[in-house]
Amino acid sequence: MILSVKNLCIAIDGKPAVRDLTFSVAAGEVLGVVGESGCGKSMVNMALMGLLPDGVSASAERMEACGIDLLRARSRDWRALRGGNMAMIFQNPMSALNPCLTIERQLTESVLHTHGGMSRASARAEALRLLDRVGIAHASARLKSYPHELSGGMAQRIMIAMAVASAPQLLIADEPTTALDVTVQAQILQLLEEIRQDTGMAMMMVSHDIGVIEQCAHRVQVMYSGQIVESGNVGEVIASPRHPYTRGLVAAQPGRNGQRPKSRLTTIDGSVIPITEEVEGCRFRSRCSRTDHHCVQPPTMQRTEANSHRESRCHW
Amino acid sequence: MLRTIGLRRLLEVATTLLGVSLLAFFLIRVAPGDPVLLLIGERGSDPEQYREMAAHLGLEQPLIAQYLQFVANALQGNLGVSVVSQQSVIEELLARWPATIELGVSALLIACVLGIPAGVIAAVYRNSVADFLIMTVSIFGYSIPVFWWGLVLILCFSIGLDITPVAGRIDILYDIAPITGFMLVDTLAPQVVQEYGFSAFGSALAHLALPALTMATIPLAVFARTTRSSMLEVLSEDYVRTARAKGLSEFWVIWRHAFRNALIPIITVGGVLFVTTVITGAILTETIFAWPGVGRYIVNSVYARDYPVIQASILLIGIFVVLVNGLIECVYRAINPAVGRDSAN
Repeated sequence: MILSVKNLCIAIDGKPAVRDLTFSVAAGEVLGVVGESGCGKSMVNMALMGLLPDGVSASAERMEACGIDLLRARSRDWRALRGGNMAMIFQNPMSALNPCLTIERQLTESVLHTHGGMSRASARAEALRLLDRVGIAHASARLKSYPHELSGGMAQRIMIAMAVASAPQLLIADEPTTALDVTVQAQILQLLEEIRQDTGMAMMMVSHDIGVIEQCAHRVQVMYSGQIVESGNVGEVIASPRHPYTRGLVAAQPGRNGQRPKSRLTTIDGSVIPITEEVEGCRFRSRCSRTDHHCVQPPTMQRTEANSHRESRCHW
Repeated sequence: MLRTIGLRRLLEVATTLLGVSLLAFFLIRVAPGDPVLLLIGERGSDPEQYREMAAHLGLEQPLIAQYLQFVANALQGNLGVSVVSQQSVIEELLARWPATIELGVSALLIACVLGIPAGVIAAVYRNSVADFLIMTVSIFGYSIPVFWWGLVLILCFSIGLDITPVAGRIDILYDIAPITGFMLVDTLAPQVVQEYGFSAFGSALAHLALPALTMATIPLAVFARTTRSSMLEVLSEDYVRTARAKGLSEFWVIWRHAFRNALIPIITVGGVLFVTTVITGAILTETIFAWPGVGRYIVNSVYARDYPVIQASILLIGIFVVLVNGLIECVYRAINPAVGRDSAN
């Protein structure tokens, strides 16, 4: 396993937010994480990268990535891991690039971090190769550009180039296409898939868009309010969702399976409860259409079929 | 596009300077006090003698005519003659300007070198003891009255410890020919070093120390506070997170990625401080330390109602402010290339 997490809990100012997350990613695998904004997806990413902001703390029974115990990692280990075997790309590529530095400075910085004693000239050559790899035309001219001179899609390609500079074993993609046009979105997903096939890296693709996850992930886990509520093979989960929340997500997709979009889109009633709020029983209960007396008990993840890896946090 | 920006700027500058000239000319004439009386003595003055003096100074003409004359002369580079010394105003001012600039720049350098790192430290270790100490000291620094602070420094270092001189720019032992007008530079000229060694430079430095420190206190506090708030804002930006996610060390993250972006507000404040330090700071500090600069000259001219000197000084200060602002804008563009684009839109 490239990434193995057991009972990860994240607390904001001491209040539990993410609760007992257990999951793993195998080499070369793409794990999709889907859930509404504010369900704790990004916080999980930050915990995995050791970048949680002040006041947010993580604890776990086990958290290992690329053979390193993240629970014991010191700041030096973190730095080696971040620019090495683990890399991350972000939601808004325009603000994720430093407006004051040229693409060359930002890209060679990543290259030099990976290859310590490399000369400026060969770092530049490597940067050109990376730009070419992520499909940027006129790479040498682009090196001199500043971020404000780029389009969103181009900026995300450059973020990807920076991330894969160290040939990571695991790439965490935090909503990489959310801020982009739909056409660009497809190109970026395709690029990530190409790179993954070339390098065999594993990926954790986080999105609130189940369509994106369906396109690129092998397995999916659905998060709701700080918990995993369903997990399994992507095709199976989307074809026959078990948890009422997953059903809602899938049903809310317009024009699924080539159907004509309905005139009114399906929604999930109610709104997400704040992630730090304590709830008795199932956290989805207040929005669920199928509640009964079982739902006041905190639900656990249960196998849904005898001989598959699918699990759901619902008794139905 | 660039040309239209240039043209617009030029128009702005012209209007600014026109406004400054109006203020400079009329404000001093509205103020109580009469230069003629100050010159010939208030008591027992002969009306005939008064008229003669007024005519000699050009004060008997209508105000509008006087103003137009002033502007016409100023446009030709003639700012008139000092009522008191009968010397050309421009020569008197230019001779004093280097002393003021030397003091102001030194003060601002001290403020930058101490204040900016202090602000960065306060931001990076926010809510720590260091942050609390830096912010407390800076509040004091900001609130200290300059004239009192200057006197305290004199009491401590000049009278108590006897390590710094009290007044002037250099010991009278040294005869330094002005080359640049900046004492620190002129005392390093080959012929000076040949004659006195580096003792002249040392003397100039010792004379500069206290007034520069006095003047630096307020800007230092402002720099520390501005840097802190600007850094705090930048440190929460996405690109700082990116830099950390690249595995860069915290040192690089702070100085290369965060600090550079935090510089814009710091430079804006720095520009304002430069102007206020050099001008208003000079007036107080130069008076306390008998520093022969523009500030003290203006104060003395106001006492004497030396109209031409006051007008010319204010006009020159106006030009100075405009120049500094232009310079700051150039620096912005050099630091953050996105700035030029924004202001052009």
